[in-house]
Amino acid sequence: MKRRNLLVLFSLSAIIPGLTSSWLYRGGSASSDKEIEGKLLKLFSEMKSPKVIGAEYLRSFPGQVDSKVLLARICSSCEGGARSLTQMDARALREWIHERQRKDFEEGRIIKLQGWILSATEVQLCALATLHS
Amino acid sequence: MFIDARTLPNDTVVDSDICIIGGGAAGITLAKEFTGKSYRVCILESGGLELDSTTQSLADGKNVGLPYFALTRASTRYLGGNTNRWGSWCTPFDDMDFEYRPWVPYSGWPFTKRELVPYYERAQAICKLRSLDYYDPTRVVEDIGNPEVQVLPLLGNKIVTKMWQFHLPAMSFGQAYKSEIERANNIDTYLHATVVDIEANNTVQAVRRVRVASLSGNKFWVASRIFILAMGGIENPRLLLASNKIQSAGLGNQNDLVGRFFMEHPHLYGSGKILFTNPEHYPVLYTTESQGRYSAQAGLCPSRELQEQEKILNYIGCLTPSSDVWAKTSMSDEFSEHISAIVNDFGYLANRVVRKLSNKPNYVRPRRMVLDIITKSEQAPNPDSRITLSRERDRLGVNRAQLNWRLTSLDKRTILRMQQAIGMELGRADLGRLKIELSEDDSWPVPLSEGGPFAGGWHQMGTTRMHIDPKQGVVDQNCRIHGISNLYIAGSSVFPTGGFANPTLTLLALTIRLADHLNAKYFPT
Repeated sequence: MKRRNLLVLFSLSAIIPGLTSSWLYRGGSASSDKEIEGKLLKLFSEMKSPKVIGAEYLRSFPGQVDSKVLLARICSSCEGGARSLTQMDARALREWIHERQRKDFEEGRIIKLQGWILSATEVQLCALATLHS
Repeated sequence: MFIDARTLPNDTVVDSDICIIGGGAAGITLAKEFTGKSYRVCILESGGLELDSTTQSLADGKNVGLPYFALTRASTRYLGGNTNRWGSWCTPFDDMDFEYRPWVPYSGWPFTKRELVPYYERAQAICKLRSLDYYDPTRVVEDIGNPEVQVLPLLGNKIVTKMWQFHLPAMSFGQAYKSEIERANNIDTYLHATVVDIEANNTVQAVRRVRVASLSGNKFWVASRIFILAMGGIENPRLLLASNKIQSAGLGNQNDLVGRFFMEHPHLYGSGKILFTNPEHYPVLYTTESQGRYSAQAGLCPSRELQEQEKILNYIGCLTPSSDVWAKTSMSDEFSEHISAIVNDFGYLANRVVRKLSNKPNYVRPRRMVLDIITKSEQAPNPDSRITLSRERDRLGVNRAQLNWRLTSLDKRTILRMQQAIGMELGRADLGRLKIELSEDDSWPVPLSEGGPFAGGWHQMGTTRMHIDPKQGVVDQNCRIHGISNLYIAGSSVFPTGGFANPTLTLLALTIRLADHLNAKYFPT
């Protein structure tokens, strides 16, 4: 990609949330998206609570009502990209998420929902559950 | 010797070298420091040896500001003062509490904490506490030696653990030191003796005598070389303002500072909830349960770095198992139940327990631990938060006090920011999640008297504040009222800032320092 186009893109992403990460993520196929999404959602022991929390989150961040956008955000710090998540077993994936949660708090990526101080990753996972059919 | 002032003939003149006005923590501590000396001391205590409602009614006053305790309850008029009903919460101020902080108007003491350290040590002994190093949480945990009692593993550059010490049951100074003072040959304690006026000389550069009255109707005088007001953060300024026969604004009030800068420690009994998810680190040391077991309790405070970075005041949050009746088995609202459900899917329990249990047929989701946060925060010095005189007078003819307690946006922002910082640290350390139960605007919650969480801490400070410049303080660095050579103040009314710490230990340290100063200045050996 030409440098000039990249700069334009980053400028636009400041106005249109999620644009940059979703464009960069576009390398994945629809089937691998579904695979990653499925693996992530299986980490929840039940789906009712994540859907409620996710709905609350999406009301505050309507620009993220898009599974691709959410996946891009969740996977953005993964070395090797989202594809490497498909190769993790459930235990490794849970530990990766757990570490990401901790980093969220450490680096200030928090979301407040009804007074609760939460990790961006955990609420975005919930939002994914909300959008999951 | 104890003397019932009600038996003194009218217009008796009592002569003394040092006259202590007030028989509470500060007054009794001064008396202890003066015991056995070659000079004569008298203590003038408004009450007797027990609580008496008629005497207590002399403290009644008006509250025109934020909701506060009835002034009849804010001070205690019998020997021992407020130590007759305190909880023995003791901890020294932090270094930073004494420093000028650019984001805190009117902050800064005339000396650093280092100046007070030797006096803190002596104050510890008076409160029958352990040594100063027992405020180090690591030292406390080592001493307790129970692996379940730990300091929370939080990042020290953001949230730090501070300790209180206790001597329980809480000690009334009036009971603990009554015999010692009674036996002291050079000390006369006049009970039922209320000072109603301070009479200065014509140039108001020295106090000649004080007028004392009892509820029996008799009045007498006390003449002394030195006078020390030790009546607390409401009554000290009240008497100065009411002693206005020569200087109409009141004694020591030439710069309109007496009564101003009333500070409390805003308390919130439930500013937030913590869903604690890591049973290996259950914070027993931070709960009130720890007081009775270990005579110590911890709290969560902002580090120096966090205070500087966020430009907030000092603060302490301690924890208590949630009073919410639902919290024993569930959270009190449905959304919080959902939070509780998902946190455990990824946290400590998920990694260590759920994996083992969740495949078993009788798996039951582990019980949550829900804690309430009790917030005790520093108040920024505010000249508009003040004690003035009401037009109403008490039975002895003295104008009653009128309290206008006011807080600022910095006070509220400190609490909100600290709740967030604690929440972030708990998440980072994999200990749980925090819910802020406080509005984001400048309003304060419903007061305790109406069933809400908001109250003062029974700590009245700042109303005769200390500063080397008479235009910025009522007393100088030695607690002497500017411009009056022989009138001093002992107690928390001299504090320029209040920190988060309960004031007793610091006011005792200052009082002992004052005693040493007076001995050196007036009675050198």
